Amino acid sequence: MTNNLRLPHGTRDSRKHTPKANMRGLYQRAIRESFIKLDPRISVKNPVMFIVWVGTIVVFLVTLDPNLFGTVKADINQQRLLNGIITLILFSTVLFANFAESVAEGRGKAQADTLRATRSDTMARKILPNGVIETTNSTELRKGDLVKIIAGDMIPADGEVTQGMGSVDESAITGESAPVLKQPGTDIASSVTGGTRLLSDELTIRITADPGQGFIDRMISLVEGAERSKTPNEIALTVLLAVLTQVFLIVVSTLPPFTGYIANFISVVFGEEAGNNLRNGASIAILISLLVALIPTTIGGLLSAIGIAGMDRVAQFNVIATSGRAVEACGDINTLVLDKTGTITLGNRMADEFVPVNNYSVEDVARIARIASLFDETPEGRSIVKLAEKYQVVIDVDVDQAEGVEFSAKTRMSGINLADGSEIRKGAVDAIKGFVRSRGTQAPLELDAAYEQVSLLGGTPLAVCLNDQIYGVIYLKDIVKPGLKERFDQLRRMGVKTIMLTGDNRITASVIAREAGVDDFIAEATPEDKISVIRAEQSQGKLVAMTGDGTNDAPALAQANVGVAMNSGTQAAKEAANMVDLDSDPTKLIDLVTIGKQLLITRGALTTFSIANDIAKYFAIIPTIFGAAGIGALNIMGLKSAQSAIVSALIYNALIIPALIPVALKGVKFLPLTADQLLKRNIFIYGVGGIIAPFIAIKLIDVILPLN
Amino acid sequence: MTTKRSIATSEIMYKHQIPIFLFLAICSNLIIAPMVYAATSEQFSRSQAWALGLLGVGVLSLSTYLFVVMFQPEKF
Repeated sequence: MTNNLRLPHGTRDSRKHTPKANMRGLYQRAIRESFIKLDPRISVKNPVMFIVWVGTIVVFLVTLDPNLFGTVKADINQQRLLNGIITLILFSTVLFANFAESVAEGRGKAQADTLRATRSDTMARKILPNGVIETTNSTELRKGDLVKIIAGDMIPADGEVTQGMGSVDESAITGESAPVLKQPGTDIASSVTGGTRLLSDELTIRITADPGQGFIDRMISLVEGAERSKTPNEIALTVLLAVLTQVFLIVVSTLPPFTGYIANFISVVFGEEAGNNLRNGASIAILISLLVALIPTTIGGLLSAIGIAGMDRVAQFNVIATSGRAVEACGDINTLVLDKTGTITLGNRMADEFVPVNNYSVEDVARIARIASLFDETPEGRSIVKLAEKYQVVIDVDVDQAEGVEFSAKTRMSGINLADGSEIRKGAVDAIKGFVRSRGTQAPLELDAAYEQVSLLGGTPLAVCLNDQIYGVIYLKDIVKPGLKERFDQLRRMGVKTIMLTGDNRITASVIAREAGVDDFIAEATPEDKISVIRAEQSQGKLVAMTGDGTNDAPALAQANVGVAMNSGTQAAKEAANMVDLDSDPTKLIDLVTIGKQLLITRGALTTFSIANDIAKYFAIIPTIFGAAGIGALNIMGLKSAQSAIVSALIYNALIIPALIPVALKGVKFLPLTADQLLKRNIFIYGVGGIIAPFIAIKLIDVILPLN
Repeated sequence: MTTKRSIATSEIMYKHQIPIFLFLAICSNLIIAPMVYAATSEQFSRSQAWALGLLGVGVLSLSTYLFVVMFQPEKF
């Protein structure tokens, strides 16, 4: 895992990045876009608002000629005025909905513009197969090409470092000003991104992406929304909205014959005037007003804005999602699979103590541990050397003649082979036991006691040996990140199970798991265990999220429903994951789960509010149309007149869209409650509130309006 | 030759879907409007019957469009 991790304490907002994009002119652009979106080829993508737009055009036509669909019995100028007002309100409704979507899109486009500025074409030093360096444009580079980069150069395209070591300024994409060290061969620091700048030394990189396919190119198209496809929940909601609109369209379009039939009956019973009043009440403009008031325009107008804003909220955390589907899936996650090191505990475990066995002294263990760590450049390895230096041990090893043995997940140990044939190893206690056993010696019983002693402290015990002799145990101290226990409690309340994966032994794992408050743990886990844990959870119908950065994490990242790759990780991990964290902070997965849940809750809350609004609008319009049929008593709001009632309901219908834009963009306030508690809370606020609010608002508008 | 021509025709139709649809809707009103006029026993003028016919075609088209949304929501 990586260094420079941000601790997960403080509120989520305090850890949010200030958008780097230039938001100046966002609203002017959004207003312009609102008019562009009136193009039928664009508006047809939003069924609810398209119906409103068509209705606006029809009402505009009857404003120009009130007798277009039948001779008006009432005062024609008054009818024209009413139709004109309705046209204006309906037009505003469409514009407000377009504005909400444009504001949400505008934020993404502004971010894309900032990114585009970093993607300018640069000259690259391409290394030809014969070793000659040729200067070429970055757009000419293809996958597999080798490129030499010198300090100060812009990195021309995405690639993997094959030679050299140097610090790279990645602030253009991460916003983090501290340079990042890049070197070949390591899983976490070998990939470089086009558009970033090499600050020191020289690197040779192998290009991994063709022009237009690079990381920044993908980021641009994602934040711009060019690749935004509907998520499963959005699709389901679109179908629901289309069904409701269809039902109300059929109801409203079949009202005139019913009204005509009832009017004939009324004429006979209550006289001709009453019958005519009923016929005039159901004019085309009023029927369209009724249709617009009944169809779920609020959610129809805000639906895409909610989705785009969800992506934007994720981007503000410096995470790039490959699709809205991934962001939404975060909200449905049941299980979080988390690595211990770097995610639950601080990334750098520090050597704290040497515990000798086999009658060796602490100094002996320190000397062997120091030699074993000579080639170990990990923070743990360096901390062992630092601790050993405290014991002032002297080592007489010719490093040039020695050969380093790298750590691997399979052997679970590293070390050094000396020129005289001695083999020094340090690693997991079981692995070292196996190593000495293979050389004909049994591990001493004291080793188990030392192992248990360190494990019970929640530390990682590393055994050290020289050939077949075990010298002792190094106590690597693990520190659980502050504030994590509370956050895991929150996740538990939301029904999310947390599983910690660690290569550590069972005792250490259980101590850390208890301290961090995770629900379950897998000790002595190999990379293959990750994928089996994910599969096991998925087989129970659960959705699983995980983070990873290495090539060996790639299959698990692809298998997980939400895979978050670290930007410092390998290209394979980034390609397998459906999200990339530019800050390489694995704890962000917890934030992503809350953002995903917030997105789903916002959509649900506004849908409930939109549908609940219908009740008040129904009570405002229906009694005015069928007042002559004896249902005037249903005018419980005591609205002044039919005209005032319809106009008030439509004004409310239009104004509620811009009023809810901040909620759609920021999301409903997120509380870590259980699904039942959330449902009750949202039904009360957005369901009951959605019924009461329009009654009050429509009445207020009716009082203010000068219509009689 | 015939195949080439039919491909070209279908390409033109695909490119100009909206105008073609509007044209067909107005054409269909040539049948609907006289029916409306006849059915309402001069309650509406000829132009009103024509407008009502078009309105009916429009409502029917919107209803068809909503069915398309219901069955192919991912396209919207």
